[in-house]
Amino acid sequence: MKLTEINFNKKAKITKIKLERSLKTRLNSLGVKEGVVIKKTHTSILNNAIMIEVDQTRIAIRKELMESIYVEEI
Amino acid sequence: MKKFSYVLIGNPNVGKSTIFNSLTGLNVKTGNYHGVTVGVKKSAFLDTEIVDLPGIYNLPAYSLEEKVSENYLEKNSEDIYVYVVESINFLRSITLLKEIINKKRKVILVLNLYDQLTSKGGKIDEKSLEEKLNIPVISINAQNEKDILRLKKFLIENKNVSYNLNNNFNVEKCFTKPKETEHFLDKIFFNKTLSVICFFATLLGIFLFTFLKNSPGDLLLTLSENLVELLKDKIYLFLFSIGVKEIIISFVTEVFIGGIGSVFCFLPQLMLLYFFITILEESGYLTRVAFMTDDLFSKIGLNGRAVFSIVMGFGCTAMAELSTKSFDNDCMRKKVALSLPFIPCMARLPIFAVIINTYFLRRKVLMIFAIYIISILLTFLTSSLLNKYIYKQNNTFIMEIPTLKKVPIKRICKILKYYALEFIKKVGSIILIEVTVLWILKSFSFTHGYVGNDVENSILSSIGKVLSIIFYPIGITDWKISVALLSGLFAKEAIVGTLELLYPMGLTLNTIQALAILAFCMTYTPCFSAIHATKKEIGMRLSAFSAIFQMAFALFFCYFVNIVAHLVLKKQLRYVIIVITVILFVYFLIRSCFVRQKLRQNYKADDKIYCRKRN
Repeated sequence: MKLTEINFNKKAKITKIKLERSLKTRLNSLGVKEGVVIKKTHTSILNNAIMIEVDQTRIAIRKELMESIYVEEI
Repeated sequence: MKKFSYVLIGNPNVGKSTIFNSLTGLNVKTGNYHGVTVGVKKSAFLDTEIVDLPGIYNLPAYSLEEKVSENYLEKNSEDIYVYVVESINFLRSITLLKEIINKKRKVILVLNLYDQLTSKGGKIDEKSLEEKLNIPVISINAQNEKDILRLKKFLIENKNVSYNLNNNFNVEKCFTKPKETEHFLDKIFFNKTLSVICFFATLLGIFLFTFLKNSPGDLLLTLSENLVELLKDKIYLFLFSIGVKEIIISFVTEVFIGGIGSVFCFLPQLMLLYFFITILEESGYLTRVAFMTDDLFSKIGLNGRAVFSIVMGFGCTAMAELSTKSFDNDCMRKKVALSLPFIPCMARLPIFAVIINTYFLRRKVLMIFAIYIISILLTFLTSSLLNKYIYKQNNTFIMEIPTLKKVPIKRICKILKYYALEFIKKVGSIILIEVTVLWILKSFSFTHGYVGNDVENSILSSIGKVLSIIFYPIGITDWKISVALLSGLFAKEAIVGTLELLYPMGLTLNTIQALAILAFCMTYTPCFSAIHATKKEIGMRLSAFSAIFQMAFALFFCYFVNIVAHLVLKKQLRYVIIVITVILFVYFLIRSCFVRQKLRQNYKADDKIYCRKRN
């Protein structure tokens, strides 16, 4: 399932990131990579951007990018 | 010849510039968000030099400012790379460390903000880390003086560090993860309703604290104005009593006390505003605002990170322009760079204050607030138009959200001292030269030599009368105002100094002219140093276009303000409503024509496809 479909504050494991290479590398360098546990925590005022938590790092990304991140619930 | 340099490198926002400042005693800009450092900063350090590079997440680089670091890393193989890590994000930072080691560079690892990690129950086993990585490791807090001394000693001891050719290390076991905690303020800053209330309350609070009558800002301004006035009288009387020539008395009192002194009066109020901006930048609150407002920015083709440049623009347009280097998308960089000049920098504040204190004292806070709101709206409008018609490319938004930090009062004082010194330097150099040249031009005539207070026969009057043609359509007929406004092209603070020089007895304008001047100062071309910074970021042609366009826009905007002010003040509001209705009607008429044309084109295209399919 896509990351957008996961409920807030529920942990999930990333299974695949289907993005162009530069964006994928950027996410990887921030700790968002296949196999890590991720959690959605907050949204922006109109829900366009979402904050995710990986380890101790909090990252804000847009919804359209989250559509390309596939996860499985744990 | 130097053999090597110490180079501070690492992920963005891990404290590289703070370490650089602490080691060198300098004061380069810092902030609790990604993209504060956009260029290479160098300084002498021990018997060699130290270099501060912009933050970089990985290789190859993603944005322009990261490219600066990547290029440096490629070209300088003999340097010692001091790899700075935020201890709490240690595991994540290993990726870049491996990439640097792969490039066969000498590395020293600095674990910054180590106390933050331990306070949350985390730990890094320094000794086993050192063994596994085979490089020197030290843990510090860059804001602690003792730790900085320790780091200095450590760098000296390890200047002969060797290459580490082993990059097959597994350091996960050296790291004990801290507990997950959320700052209590984040519950407010990430709440949809509370964050909006908090944002507007913060803005309003800053304005009330600085500009409201009898507020600390207002009291400081009055105090400094009284001091300058007192100084002016005392110096005049002293020089007169010892029989100094009139020309020298005039020069000293008009240039140094009148011109320069009137600009200095605003220093305390500016420092108060910088105090608040520093807290916003250093605490990490701006990152929260950037995240929560990303929706708004996405509508105009930007992303939340534009907040950083905009807030920087309230301080100095030139610095804000340079900060656009941190955007990874070229289109977005251009959009922000071209929209930023509409944000009124701190140097414009004195002229706003002078006009508002003289003509709109009863509505002071409202006027200042309106100026800032209109400026922000103009910035958004420019970006939106650029996004719609020129730079249509979509952009992404990936931003790390740092933890909130307490801003030590010592750090704030250091930053304020830096801003104050920069202000004094600027007033003592560019503005002093400008006011002196203007004083010479206003005190002498082509034919009669020194003319004293007979300004109308001076050289400046002849030049000013020619220049004032530009401002005739917007209702500013006095050449002195034209000269003052154009002097702002060198530095905006100069406008107040020039007005004081040319109107020693105070301004003589009507309300409509005062409004037109405010509108012009709000929107016209920024100073030459800001134009130069824009040129650096987006090229000569675009920056020249931006400067000319903004001047033309300012004149047009003033003309509009002039007409509306005439109609409103002469109680002909119904005409204003008629004008606005006509404008709206014409707009919608043109728009509907465009829509119809587009629909027709779409129909034609659909028809063609349909025909092709049938055939």
